[in-house]
Amino acid sequence: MAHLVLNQLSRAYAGRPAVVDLSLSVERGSLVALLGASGCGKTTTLRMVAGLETPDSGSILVDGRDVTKLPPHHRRMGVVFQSYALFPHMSAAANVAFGMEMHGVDRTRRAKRGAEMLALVGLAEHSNKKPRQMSGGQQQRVALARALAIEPDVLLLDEPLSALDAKLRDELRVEMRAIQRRVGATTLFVTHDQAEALAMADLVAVMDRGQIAQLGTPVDVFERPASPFVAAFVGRSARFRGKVAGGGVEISGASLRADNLPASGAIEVFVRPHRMQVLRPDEGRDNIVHGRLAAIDYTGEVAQLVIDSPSGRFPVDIATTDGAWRELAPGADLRVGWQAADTLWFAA
Amino acid sequence: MRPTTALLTAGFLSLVPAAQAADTVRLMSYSDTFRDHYTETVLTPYAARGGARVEYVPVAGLGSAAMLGQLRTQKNDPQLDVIIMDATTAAIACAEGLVEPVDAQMLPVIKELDPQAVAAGGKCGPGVTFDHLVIVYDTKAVIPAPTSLKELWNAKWKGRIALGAPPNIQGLALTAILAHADTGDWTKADGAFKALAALAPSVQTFDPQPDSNTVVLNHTVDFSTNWNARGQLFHDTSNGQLGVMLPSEGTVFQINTINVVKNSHARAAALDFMAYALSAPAQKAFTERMFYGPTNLTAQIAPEAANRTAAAPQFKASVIPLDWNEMIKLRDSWNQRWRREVISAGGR
Amino acid sequence: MVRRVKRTGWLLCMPGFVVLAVAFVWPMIILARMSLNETADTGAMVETFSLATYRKLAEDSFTWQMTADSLLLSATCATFALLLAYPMALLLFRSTSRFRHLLAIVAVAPLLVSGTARVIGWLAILGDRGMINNILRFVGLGVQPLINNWTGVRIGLTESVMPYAMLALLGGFGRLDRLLEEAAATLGAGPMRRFWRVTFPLTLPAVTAAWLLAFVLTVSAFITPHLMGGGRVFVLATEIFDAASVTLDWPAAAALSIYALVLLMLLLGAQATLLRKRRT
Repeated sequence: MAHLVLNQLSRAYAGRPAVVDLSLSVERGSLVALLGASGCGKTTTLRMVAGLETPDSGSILVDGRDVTKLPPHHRRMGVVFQSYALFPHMSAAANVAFGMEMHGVDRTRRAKRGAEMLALVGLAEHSNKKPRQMSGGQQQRVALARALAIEPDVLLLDEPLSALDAKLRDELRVEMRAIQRRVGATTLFVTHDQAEALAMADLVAVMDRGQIAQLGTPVDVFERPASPFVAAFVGRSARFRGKVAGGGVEISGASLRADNLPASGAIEVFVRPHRMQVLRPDEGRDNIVHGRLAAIDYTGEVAQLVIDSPSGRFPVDIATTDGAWRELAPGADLRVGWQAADTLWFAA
Repeated sequence: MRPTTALLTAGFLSLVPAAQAADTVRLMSYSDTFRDHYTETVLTPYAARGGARVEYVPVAGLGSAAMLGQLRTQKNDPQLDVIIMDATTAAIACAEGLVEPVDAQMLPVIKELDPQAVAAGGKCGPGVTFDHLVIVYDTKAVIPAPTSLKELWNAKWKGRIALGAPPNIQGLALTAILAHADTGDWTKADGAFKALAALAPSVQTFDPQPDSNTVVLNHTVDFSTNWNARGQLFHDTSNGQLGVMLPSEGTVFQINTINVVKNSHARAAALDFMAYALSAPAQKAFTERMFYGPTNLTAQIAPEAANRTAAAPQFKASVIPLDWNEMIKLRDSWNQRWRREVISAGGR
Repeated sequence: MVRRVKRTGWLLCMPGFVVLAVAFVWPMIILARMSLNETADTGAMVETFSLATYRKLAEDSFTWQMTADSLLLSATCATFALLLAYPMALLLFRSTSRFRHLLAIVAVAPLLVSGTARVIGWLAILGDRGMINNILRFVGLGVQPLINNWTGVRIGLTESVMPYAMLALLGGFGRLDRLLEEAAATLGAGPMRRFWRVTFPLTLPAVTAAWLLAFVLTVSAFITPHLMGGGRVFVLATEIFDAASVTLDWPAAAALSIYALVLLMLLLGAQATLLRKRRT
C-alpha cells in the first residue's frame, strides 16, 4: 500500500471549489510534485495533508491509518513553508530542536540530532544565528532541517524555492533532492515551476482547477502530455490548428504528418520548440512550415526564434553550439522542419 | 489636564492681553449658582444705580485656588479688577502683594462691618460674605433630625458618612469645632484628632464627589460636611430631602473677602463697586437670595432668611472665633495629622 | 550625497524640535525655576533660589511612602490592564470578521468618554449600593467596599488605561504571523505550547511597550485617584494636583513634578538598558 493516500479530497471556500475529488497515492520514499498555476488547489491540497485545512469530504491515509480528523500537532508532517516560517526569536539550532522538544525528545538527543540535521543541510557553523542574520538560502535550509528533525511521516514542501534567486534555486534544487533521497522521506512538493517539478520529482501531478490533469513521470508529462492543458502548461510549444485530410493535418500553408492520426476531424498540433530546426535549402523533414523570422533572443545555450507563418506565430529554439544562429536576422524567410514522431496532437 | 500642564497653561494664557475698556470693572469669583445669584442681586442693581459696567468673570477650575493662580500669573499686567475669594487664599494674595491694602479711610463702609469680617481680610479687603460649616443629612434616613456632631459617632451610620478632609478647608473647620468643644481652644486639637480617628472607620469618603450635596441626595451617604449657604439652597431645591444641621458644638465661619487687584486698570471704579458690594442693600439682597451671612451689621435681613444663616442673633453665640490667618499656619501640620492619624485609621 | 541626506533629515526634524522646545523644554525650565522658590508659613510664595522645598519633601517620610504607593499602584494597574487587553487585542488582531473594525472601535470607546463621566458610571456599579454590591448582598456575601479606597482606584485606573494598552498591543503585533503558529502546530505543538513558545514571545516587545505606556499613564493619572479614592489614596499625581490647585504651594507642586519626571525617566532608562542587554 502506498505510504500517503489522498482519497477523493474536496475543499471549497465560500462555495468556490478549490480542490475537487482529488485522489493521489505517494509511494514510500518517493517525491511527488503537485505542479500547477496559482489558484489550482495545490497549496490547499498540501495544507489539508498537513492538517492546516479540513477537507469538506474525502480522507487522508498515512500507512493505511486515517489521519483526516487529526489536528496538525498529532500528525507528524514535516512542512517547509514558502516563506519558511522560521521562529524569528529562536536560533537556527532552537528552530530545529523545537519539533523534537514538542515530541518529547530529551535534551541530549535533541542537541545531537539537531546538530546532525544542521550538518546535513550544511549549516553546522550557523547554529547560533537567528533567522534574520541568515541569507534566504540558509533560512531555507534551516526550514528543511527543522521539518526533517521530527522524523516526519511525510515531508511537505510548499514552493520551498520560490523566494530564492535563480542560481541559488538551481543549486538548492539538487541539494534538496539529494537530502530527500538520503533520508528517504516520502515527499509531497508543491510548485508552479515546471523545471523544478521535472528535475526533482519521481512523479508529477499536473493540477488544473482543483483536479489532477495528469499524473506521470517527468518524461511522461513532458513528452506525452495527456491533454492540451498539460501540453500547454508543461513546457513551451508551437501550436497549430487544422483538419485531418489525406493522412495528414491540413493547416494554413502546409500539411503535417503525425503518428496514429484519426481518419478525420479537427486537430490541435503541439511541437516542442527544441524539436524543430531551421532547415538549409537542401535539407528535408517530415513536416515543413515556411515563415518569416520576427524576432530572435539569445539566451545562452539556445537562441529563441519567433516565427510568423500563415498558420500563426510560433517559437523555435536552436542550439547555439555551431554559431549558425548569428546569420539569422529578423525579416529573413525561413523553412522550419521537424519529424512526424515529434508531432503531438489532440482532437480539438 | 495634568496639574503641571494646568499651571503652565494658566501662565501662557496670561501672556495674551485681553482688550478691555478702562471703565469696565472685571470681577472674578466662583462659577455656577453663586455667579447667577450674585449677578442678579448685586451687579444688576449696581448698574441700575449708575455704577460702572461690571463684568463677572467666573473662574474655571477649583474656586479660590484657581483665582489665586490667575492673580499670580497676571501679576505684571492684571486683567482683573475685583476678586471675591476665600479668606485663606486672599491672605496669600495679600501677603504676595497681589491685592491692594484697604482701610476705613479709603472705604468708609468698612466701619459698618462685623469686626470678624474686617479681621479676616487683614490689611487687605474685608469679608463680604459669611458662611459656616454645617452637616447636611438625608432627612428621610436620619430620624429624628440630628442636633449634635455626636450623632456621627453612632455605629448605625458606619459607611454612611462623607467628610471633606484637608486640604479641603471643611476638614480644618470640623477639626477646629471638635477641638473647641473638647478644650475650649480651637488650636488644641489632640483630642479632636483622637475623636476623628475613632470616626474614620465609619467614613465612606474623605473627598465627596462630585460634591457634598450630591452624595447625600443620591444616597451614597447619609451625612456630609458642607457649607451652610449651598446646603440651604439644596434644602430648598430638594424639597427638604437635604437637611442642614448647625451643630450644637458650634461652627466656624468661612469668609469670602473682596479685594481690589493691585495695579488694576480701573482702580477707582473697582473701589466704588467694592464699597457697594459691602453696603447694606447689596448684602441684604444677596443674603436673602443665597443664605450667605451678611458682613455689614446694618443690613436688615428678613427673619426667615436670617434664621438660616449663622449671623442670626440666636446662632451668633455658637460661632467659634477662629482666625483663619492662624489656621493657615497650622494647616500643614493638620493636613499631615489627618493623613497619618485619621485617614489611615479609616481604611476600607 | 549621504551627508546631504543627513543634513536634510535634520532640517526635516526642525519643526518637531521647535514644537518640542516650546511645548516641553521651556515649560520644564519654568517648572524647574518654580521649584526653587519657597512657600512661607503664611502660604505666600517667596521668590528665591533654594533647595528648601526639595529638602522638605525629602525629609518627609510621607513622600517616600507615596512614591512607593504610586509605583506599586501603577505597576498593578498596568499589569491588570495588560492581562485584560491582551486576549482582546489578540482576538481583534486575528479576527477576520467584517465586524472587526467595529469591535476595535468598541474596544477603545472608553477613550471617548470623559474621565468624570466614567467615574460616575463606576459609582453606579461599584458603590456600596451599586450594582455589584446589590448582587453580593442578594447572594449573601455582604457589602464589599469597591470604591472610595485603593480597590476603587485600581479598578478605575485599570479600566481607563486598558484601551491604550490595547492600541499599543495591536500596533505591536506586527511580528505575529499566523504561519508561525501553523509551523509550530506541524512540529507537534498543541494550542497552549503554540501560544507560550511562539505567539507570546513574539508579542513580548509589544507587551513591554504597552505595559510601559500603561504604567506611565497611571503614574500621571490624577482624575481617577482623585474621584475614586475617597480621599484615601495619596499618589504623586494627586499630590501635585493638590499642591498646585488646592493648597497653592506651587514650589512644592513644581518640585514634586520634577521629582516624578526624573523618577519616570530613570525607570524608563533602566528598562531600555535591560531590553538592550537582553537583545544582544
